[in-house]
Amino acid sequence: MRIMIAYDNSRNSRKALDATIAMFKPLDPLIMLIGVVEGSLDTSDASSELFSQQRAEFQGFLREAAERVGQAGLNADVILAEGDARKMILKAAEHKKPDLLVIARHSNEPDGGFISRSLNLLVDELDYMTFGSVSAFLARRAPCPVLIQACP
Amino acid sequence: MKVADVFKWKNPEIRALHLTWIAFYITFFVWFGMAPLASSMLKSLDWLTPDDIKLFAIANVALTIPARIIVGMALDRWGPRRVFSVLLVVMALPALFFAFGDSRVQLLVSRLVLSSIGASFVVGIHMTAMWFKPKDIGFAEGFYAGWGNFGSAAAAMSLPAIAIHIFGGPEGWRWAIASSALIMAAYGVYYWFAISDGPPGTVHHKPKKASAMEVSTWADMIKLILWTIPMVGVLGILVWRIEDMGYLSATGATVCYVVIALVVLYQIIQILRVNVPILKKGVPEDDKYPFNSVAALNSTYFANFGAELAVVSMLPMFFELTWGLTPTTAGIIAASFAFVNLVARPMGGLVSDRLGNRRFVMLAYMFGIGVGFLMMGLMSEKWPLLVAVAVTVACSVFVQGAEGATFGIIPSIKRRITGQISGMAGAYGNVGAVCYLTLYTFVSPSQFFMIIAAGAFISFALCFVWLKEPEGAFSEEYYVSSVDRELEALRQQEVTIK
Repeated sequence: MRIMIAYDNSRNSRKALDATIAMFKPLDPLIMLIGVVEGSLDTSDASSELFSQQRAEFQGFLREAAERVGQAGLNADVILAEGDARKMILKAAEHKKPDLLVIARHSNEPDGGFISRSLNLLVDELDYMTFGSVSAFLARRAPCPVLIQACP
Repeated sequence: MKVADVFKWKNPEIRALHLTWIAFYITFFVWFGMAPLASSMLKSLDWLTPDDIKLFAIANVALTIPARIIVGMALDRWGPRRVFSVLLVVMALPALFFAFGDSRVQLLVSRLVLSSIGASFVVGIHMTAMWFKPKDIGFAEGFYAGWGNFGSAAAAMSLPAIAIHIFGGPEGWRWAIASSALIMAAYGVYYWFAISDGPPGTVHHKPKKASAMEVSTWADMIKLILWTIPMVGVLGILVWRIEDMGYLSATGATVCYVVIALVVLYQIIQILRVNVPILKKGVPEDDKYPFNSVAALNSTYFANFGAELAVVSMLPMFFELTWGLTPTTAGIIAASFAFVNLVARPMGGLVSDRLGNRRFVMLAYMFGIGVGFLMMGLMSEKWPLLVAVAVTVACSVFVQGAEGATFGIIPSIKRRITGQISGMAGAYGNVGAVCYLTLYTFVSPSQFFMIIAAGAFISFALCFVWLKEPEGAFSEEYYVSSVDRELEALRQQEVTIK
């Protein structure tokens, strides 16, 4: 049993990881953590070191997650990719052929006042209506069963 | 980063973003302050001809390219805050000089010098990059560029009204330009004290600057040289026009040609000096990047930003003469072209990010520009004004969206030289403007729009053949077994016991 989990250290992805471990532990699966560092969209060379900083930080998160998997007594495989999150997770799934792909539903903790909250909601809604989220993209295209973890 | 975040004035990075786009907006306001006042100038100065105005429009975008190179060097030395402030204050001088110029040569020279102000784009992009986290930079830079470019629309909307209704009289246009120049200088002083280069504690260490772009193969080096020649070489066209119109003696023109040739030669030598050692050693397969993508993006920026600069320079007068409007109304209507910048340019970047196929987005936008300008080329006084405005706005949504899409692809070609790639593409925007505006001196507005449409279709074809979809990469993979973990934990325990 090989389970691939898309992990970005958001609140929801942490919950999804815990939930998945709890659910599938009896099957003793190999947990494949895939993390994608979104390429920086900076068009100047002013802050290239900021990007490498961010990348190192992200590697740290993945390492922590792998440790959590290890503490649960499961083996972990860690994959770090750079680029578009949707495409890279899809590529990894096609390449690694896991038995199950787990994605957390996207999380945006609402904050700010009423006006900015409603503005964000509107923009998000348009965004998902037109382009879909990472989970929607993968649910339509992944070569294996997809489990979308709801994270209350 | 969320859209609503731009209202959080208290956040230092949001404050920096607002301060910076306003500075950029003011530079665009001053830069394109001549077009909406052109007809007022013609009315009040009997020695000025429409041909002169067309020439000033070319001069107005000419020296931006060399200025970008100089500003790039200054940025590495002094950082964006100082460079932006100095640029705002210094560029107020040619603007004032233009406002009170009373001969053709004075007006031409001051416009030429003032064209350096276009380099402000790079400064603000740098400033924005220093303040934001890598994942927010795309949005912040798109916001900055879109809202700053909007300055040209604001100029078209407000300057005629200021000249006619506030100052009035035949000298009104002079005072309108002068007042915008003074505001710019004042803001430059304010900017110096209001902002810092990045959050407190940012260490500004100079990037290793190569003097030319690296390439991956010998063929790419030849292409790079070919694409470098027009960047400064295009100024030859301007010199030829200036001499043709009797501003410059044959000797003067020859001197200019020689200087331009020397600069181009210097750039080529730099390319060889940087790349020959690299290519002799051989570039590892995984470090190669296709220069064709860079060339394709140069062409798109030529065809979209170049078109925008050119159209913004002629549109107010076109509306005024075609539909017989007052300068104020024509200015407001012509501003509809640049007005959508507020939304269209950031949207172009967003669509490119979200759709998951940047190449397709770029192609679609270029095709849209072609169709849009074909429609504009068919416009005449028989069209209802409202329809003409609608076509103008629709066309401009594609033009500015394409700018956003171009800058959406640039960072994913080759991270190490992103700054140089975006500098080259940006310069090609000005090359486009110079080429288009030069052609404009020979043709009618309708033919002019058709030429721009042709440029967009050519760029579409180049993208279709050359532009590759940027690919992500798997950078590392490792395996952690739970047994490893237990052994590791045991070892740790032993160490602590000892």
